[in-house]
Amino acid sequence: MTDIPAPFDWDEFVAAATENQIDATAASRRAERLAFAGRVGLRIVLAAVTILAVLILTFILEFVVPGNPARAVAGPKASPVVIAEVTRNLHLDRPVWQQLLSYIGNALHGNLGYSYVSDQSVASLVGGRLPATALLMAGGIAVELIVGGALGIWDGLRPRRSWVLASLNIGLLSVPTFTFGFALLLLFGYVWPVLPVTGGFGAEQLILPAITLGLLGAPYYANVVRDQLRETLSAPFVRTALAKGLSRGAILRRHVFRIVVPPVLTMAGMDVALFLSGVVFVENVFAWPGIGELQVQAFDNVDRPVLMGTVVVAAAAVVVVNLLVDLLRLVVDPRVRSESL
Amino acid sequence: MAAVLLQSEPTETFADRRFRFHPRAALLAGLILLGALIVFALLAPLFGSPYRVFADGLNAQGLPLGLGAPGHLLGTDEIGRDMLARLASAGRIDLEMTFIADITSMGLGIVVGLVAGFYRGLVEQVLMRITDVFLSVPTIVSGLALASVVGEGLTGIVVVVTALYWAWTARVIYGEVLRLRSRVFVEAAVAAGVPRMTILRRHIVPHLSSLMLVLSALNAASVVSIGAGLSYLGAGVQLPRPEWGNMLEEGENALGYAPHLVVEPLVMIILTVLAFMLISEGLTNRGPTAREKTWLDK
Amino acid sequence: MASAAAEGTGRPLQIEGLSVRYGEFPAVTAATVSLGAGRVLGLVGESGSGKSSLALAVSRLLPPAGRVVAGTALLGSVDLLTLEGEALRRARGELVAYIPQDASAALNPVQRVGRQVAEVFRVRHGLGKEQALAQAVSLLAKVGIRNPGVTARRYPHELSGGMRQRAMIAIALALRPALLVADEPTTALDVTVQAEILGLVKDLQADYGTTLMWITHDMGVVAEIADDIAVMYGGRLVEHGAAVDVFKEAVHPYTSALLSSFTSGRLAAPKQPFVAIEGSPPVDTIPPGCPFHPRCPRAFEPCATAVPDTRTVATGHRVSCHLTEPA
Repeated sequence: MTDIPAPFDWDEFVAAATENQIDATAASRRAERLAFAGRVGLRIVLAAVTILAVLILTFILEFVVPGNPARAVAGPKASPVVIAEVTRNLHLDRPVWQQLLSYIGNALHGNLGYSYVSDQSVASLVGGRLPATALLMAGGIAVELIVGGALGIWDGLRPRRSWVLASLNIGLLSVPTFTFGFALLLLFGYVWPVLPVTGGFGAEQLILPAITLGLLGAPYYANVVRDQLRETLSAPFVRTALAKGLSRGAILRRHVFRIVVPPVLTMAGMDVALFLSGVVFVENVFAWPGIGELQVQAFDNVDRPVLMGTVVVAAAAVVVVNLLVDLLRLVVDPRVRSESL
Repeated sequence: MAAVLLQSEPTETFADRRFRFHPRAALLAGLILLGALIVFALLAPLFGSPYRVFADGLNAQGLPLGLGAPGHLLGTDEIGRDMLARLASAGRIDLEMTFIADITSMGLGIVVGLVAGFYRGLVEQVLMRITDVFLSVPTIVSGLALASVVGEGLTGIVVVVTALYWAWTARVIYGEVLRLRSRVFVEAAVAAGVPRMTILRRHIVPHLSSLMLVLSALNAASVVSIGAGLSYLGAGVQLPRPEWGNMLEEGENALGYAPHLVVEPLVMIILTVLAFMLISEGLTNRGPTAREKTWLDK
Repeated sequence: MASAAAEGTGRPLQIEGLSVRYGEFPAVTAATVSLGAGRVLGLVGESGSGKSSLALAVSRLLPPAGRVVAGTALLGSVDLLTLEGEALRRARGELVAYIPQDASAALNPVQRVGRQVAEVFRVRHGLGKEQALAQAVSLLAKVGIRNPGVTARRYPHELSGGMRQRAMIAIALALRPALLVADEPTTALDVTVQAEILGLVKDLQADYGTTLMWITHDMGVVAEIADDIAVMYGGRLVEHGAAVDVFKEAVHPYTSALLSSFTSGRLAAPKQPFVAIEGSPPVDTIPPGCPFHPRCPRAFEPCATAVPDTRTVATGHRVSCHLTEPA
C-alpha cells in the first residue's frame, strides 16, 4: 500500500545544486550587464540634457536679452521697412517658444544660423576652423601629458616630494595662458628668433602654441600623477607583487600603471573645457586660424550667430568628450562597472 | 595596519629642511605681495594722469622710451604716455574688478553648493545639473558671447566672470557638504531634531570656512587672469581707460621694437595671480600623504 | 599523503637575535626562535607586540620605514635577511611566502583573479599565458575553490572574503615555499570561514611538508594548529616551546594570563566571569626592564629595571622572566 520512497540520490542533488549555483552566477551577470546598460543610458541622457540646456541659454542670449534682434541684424541705420522684412525672414514675429523650438530643431539638424557679417552659414564657418583648433588641442594635450607624466613619475618614484615640482607648480599656475604665450613669443620669436611670429596654419607655427597650452597644465598633471602613483605604490597589492618575486619594472608595468593611467586620462578628458578656453587666448596671441580667432573676430563685429554657434559647438565637444571618457572608464575599470547607480 | 606601518620615520635630512615649502612663509609672502600691489594701485594719483601725453615722451625716431628713461621710470607708450602712471591706474581697475567679481561669484557658488548639498531630491538634482551645464561650457568662449550681450566696462566684466565662475565653487562646496552631511555629528543633530538651518549654521558652515578662504584665494587668481584676458581680447574695460589686459592688446603690435609695453602689464598680472596663489597655498592644509613611504622606496 | 610530507619542501628555521626598528621605535628586540622542518609555529601576541613586524622581517616584506638592525634568520643554510637583488627575488615564493591579513587589499583590484595567480608562473617559470592560466586554475581548485574556471575570470571585488583569502593562499603556495608565513589570515573573516581557511592551510601544509609560521592573537587557533608556540610582548619573545608544554605549564605570567583569558572566553561554563588582562599593551614607548611589568600581577623589584635573561626551563622550553631566576 505504501510507496517505497526512492533512495535519496546525493550525487544528483549535488550536481543539481552546482548547476543552480552556476545559473545563479549567470543571472547575477545578466543583472550586472543590465545595470551597466542603464548606467550608459543615463550618461547619454544627461549629456543630451546638457546640450539642450546650452542651446536654450544661447537662444536666450541671442534673441531674448538684446531686445530687438532684427535691428542688430539690419544695422542701426536700417529703415522700418527693412527691419520688418528681417523680422519676417527670421520669424521674429512668432511667439518666443516657437522661435526656441525651431532654433533647437535647426541646431539639431546642424543649422546654427547665418553670420550677420558674411552671410555664410555658422556651421560652415565653425566647421572650417575646427580642424586647426582640434590639432592645437591635441598638441597641447600631448605636451601636457608627456611633460606632466614624466615629471610626475620622476617625482612619484622618489621617497620624498621634490621641492622642484612644488615651486614649478606654483610658478606655472600663477601664469595666465596668454601671458605665457606672450613670453614664449617674445623669447623665441624676437629675442632668439627661431620660430615664425606671423601666425598661420603649419607645423612650425604649431610648436609655440602647443607648448603654451601644454606646459601650463603640465605641473598640475605631474601632481595628479605623483599622488596617484604614491597612493598606488603604498597599496598592499604592491607588496603582494613584491612577494611574487616581480622586479621593480615589472611591478610598475603590470600593476601600478594600469591603476594610475585611467584617472589621469579621465582628468585630461574633463580638461577639454579648460583647454577650449585656453585655446581662445593662444590662437589670438599666435594668430592660429582656429575657432578662438573666429570668435574674437565675431566679437569685434558683434556677429552674434557666430558667437553663439561657437559656444554651442564648444560645449557639445566638451560634453561628447566627457561622455566618451566616462564610458571608457566604465570599460577599463571593473570597480566602476559594478558600482551601484 | 599597513597604512600605519607605512608612516615614515620622523627624521629629516638637512637638505629636506632647507628646501621644504613652508606654508606660513607662502601665506606671508602672498599677503605682502598683495598688500604692495594694493598700495601701488591706491597711490596711482601720485604718478600723474594716465592720459597725459608728454612732449618729450618719444625719442628722436618717434619710438617709445624704454625702462629707466629720465622722468619716466618704466618708459612711455607709443604716443608718449607715462607707463608708470598707466600701470598704477590700471591696477586700480583690475584689483577692484577682482575683489568684486571674487565676492559675487564665490557668494553665488556657496549659496548654490550649500542648498544643493543640504536638500536631497529635486532641488539637489536640478541645481547640480545646472552647475554641470555651466561647467561644460568653456569659460572664455562663452565669456565672449556673454560679453557681447551684457556690454562693456567694469560691470560687464563682473557679470561675465560671476556667471562663468560660480559653478566651480558650487561643485566643490556641494561635495564638501555631502561629505560633512554623512559625518556623525551632523547625523546626530538631524536625529535630535535640530532645524536644518541651525545645522547648516552651527555645523556645516564653520567646517567649510577654511575651505572657503582657500577657494576664494584660488578663485581670485582665476578672476584676475580671466578679467585681464577678456579685456585683452577686446571685451570688458575699454581704451583709452588703461587696464592691464587692454594695455597688452595695445602693446602687442610693438612687441618687436618696444617689448616693455607688453612685459610690464604681463609682470603686473603675474604678480597679482602669484600673490593669490601663494595665499591659497599657504592656507591649504596638506595631508600627511605627502610624507608616506611606499613599497618601492629604499 | 603522508609520504608527501616525508619528502616535503619544508626547511628548518632558526631566527637569532632579530631586532626591527621603525625609526627609533624598537618593534622587535633580540628575538630568537627555532622551528623544525615541516613544523608549525604559533606566534602569539596582542596588537603591537611586534609579531607582525617579526613575520614581515622574515618574509622580507618590511615596509620601507622599518629596518632590521640586528640578527639572522637562517632557513636551512640561507640567511633570509642578507639576501639582495636577484637572489632575493628568487627566494620570494620559493624559500619564503607570505599570506597577509587583508586579502581584499592584497589583490590588485583591476586584474582578474586567475591572472594574478597565473602571474607567478608567468614571471617565475616563464610560462605562456594559456599554460600559466591552466596551472592557476588547477591551483585554485586545490585551495578549495569550486568552479575554479569561473572564479579565475572574476575580479577580486566580485568574490567573498573567504574566496579572496583562498586566492592569496594559492599565490603563496604556487612555488611550494620552504617556509610559509601566515599573518593572521583569518582575522577579517566570518567565524565559519575562519575554520575552513585554518583547515585548508593545515591540510596543504601537511601535504607539502612546508614549515609554517602562523601569527595570531587567538590562543584557540594556536591550540588547533601549532606544534610549537612563541609568545611575544612589547617586541620581546617572552616564552617559546612545544605547544603541549606551554599549554600545560605556562611559566611566564603573560602567557598564563593569555591562556586564562582564552579559557574563560572560549571554553568557559555559562555565567563564569570573563578574565581579561589588566591594562593595555605598550604603544608609543616600551617600558624599561621587563616590558610586561606594569601589568604583571607578580612583578617584584628587578622587573622594573632589568630585562630578564632568557632561560631554558625544560627541554626546548625557554622563558624570559625574573621569576625563573634561581633564588
